Amino acid sequence: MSATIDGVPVGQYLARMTWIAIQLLMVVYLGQAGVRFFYQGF
Amino acid sequence: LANPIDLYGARFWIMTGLAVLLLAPLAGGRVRSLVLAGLNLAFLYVYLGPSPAMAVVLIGVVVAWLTLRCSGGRWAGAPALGAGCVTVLGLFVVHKLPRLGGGLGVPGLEEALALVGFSYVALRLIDVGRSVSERRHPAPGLASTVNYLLPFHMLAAGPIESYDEFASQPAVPPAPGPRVVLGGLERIAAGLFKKYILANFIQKLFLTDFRAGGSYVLVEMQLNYLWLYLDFSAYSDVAVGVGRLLGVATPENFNRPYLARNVIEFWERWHISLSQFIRRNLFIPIQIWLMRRSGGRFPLLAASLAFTVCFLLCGLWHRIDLHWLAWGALQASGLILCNLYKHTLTTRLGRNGVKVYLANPWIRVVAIVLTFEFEAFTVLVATYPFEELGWWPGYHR
Repeated sequence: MSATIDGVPVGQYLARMTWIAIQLLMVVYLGQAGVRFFYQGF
Repeated sequence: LANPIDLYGARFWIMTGLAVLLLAPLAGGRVRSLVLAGLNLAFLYVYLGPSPAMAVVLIGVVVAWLTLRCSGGRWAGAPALGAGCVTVLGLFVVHKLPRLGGGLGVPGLEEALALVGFSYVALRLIDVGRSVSERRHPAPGLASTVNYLLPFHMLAAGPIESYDEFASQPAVPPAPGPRVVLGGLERIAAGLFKKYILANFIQKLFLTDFRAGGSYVLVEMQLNYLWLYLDFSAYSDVAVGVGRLLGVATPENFNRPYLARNVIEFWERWHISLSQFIRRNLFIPIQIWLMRRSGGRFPLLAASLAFTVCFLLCGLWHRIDLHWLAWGALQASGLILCNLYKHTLTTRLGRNGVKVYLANPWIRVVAIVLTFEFEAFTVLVATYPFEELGWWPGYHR
């Protein structure tokens, strides 16, 4: 039986937290400044 | 003046972090409500500082609280409610047409109305005013007035919580567990991703404010509608996520609106808190009044008139101009046609026939595509720069 926190398997927590982190990193690095850079590249 | 609350800025997130840290250990009902009210006002202070606009906000809250207390009374109820309605309407016009009202000469008024998002506050005031005057709920205390009218995480773009829902919240909400916190963080991250990555890229790469001309207008119509959903629902995602972290009930505002198969269903999926507000406070009262006047003989006509009044006003709520009036007229036409079609189908096919009709996957796909295109077209009408083409003679923005 896998370990759970609040009824959710720990592995699922890790996967979901990783996805949160990826989205936030993309927002920080590709957000407004990133869009400007990408747009000017065309 | 545009709403200055920027989800990409640090101020919003510092205040959110502070609110979570302060509220998490405060499980006690009254103290929690007071602390939350203090945080909501502190959030406004962070943006306005010691300015006339901040004074306007504070005076406005006290006036609203006193008016609500009077509205619930036996003798002063009607005059207080009347004066409150006139004031809300006047402030709404000043907020939407600043050139007309010129801020009424009150320093800081326009700035305060823009920051609190008065379009939404006005609807909350109507909701709570009605609840109190009809004695469904007692008048809120000062802290609750602040927390209902000015919840900092719902100021940027709603949602519009009903006062019934606000008043039914437990005084001591359960402490959010790991599962709730994770869910909240997921909504915040998804919202920010939608707004700053997906919506931003679509806007920068494909949208020209319909100035590209030619057949590209058809492509841009689709992408503009997609952008609107991504951008608007992102604010709601962030509000719902922050609400979960704070233990403050925050209503959902979207439920996969692109899957709507008709305009009636669309309004059950898009800007849900607004459409529920319209249903509660406009559509049902108007429909009931018309049915009573007509002795219940013309239910379809009553519904059609109610749709028309509701959505013309809804258009003007978005912005007082011809674009949004036309948008409201289109929405009302769509709803009326949809209602008539539903009635015709039921008459011709019977209930079982309608069930078979609705279950047909091809009809479903066609209905979804038609609804999508109709709604995309209404957004085009609301945002297309007709003035530059001189299409609307005698009309100047």
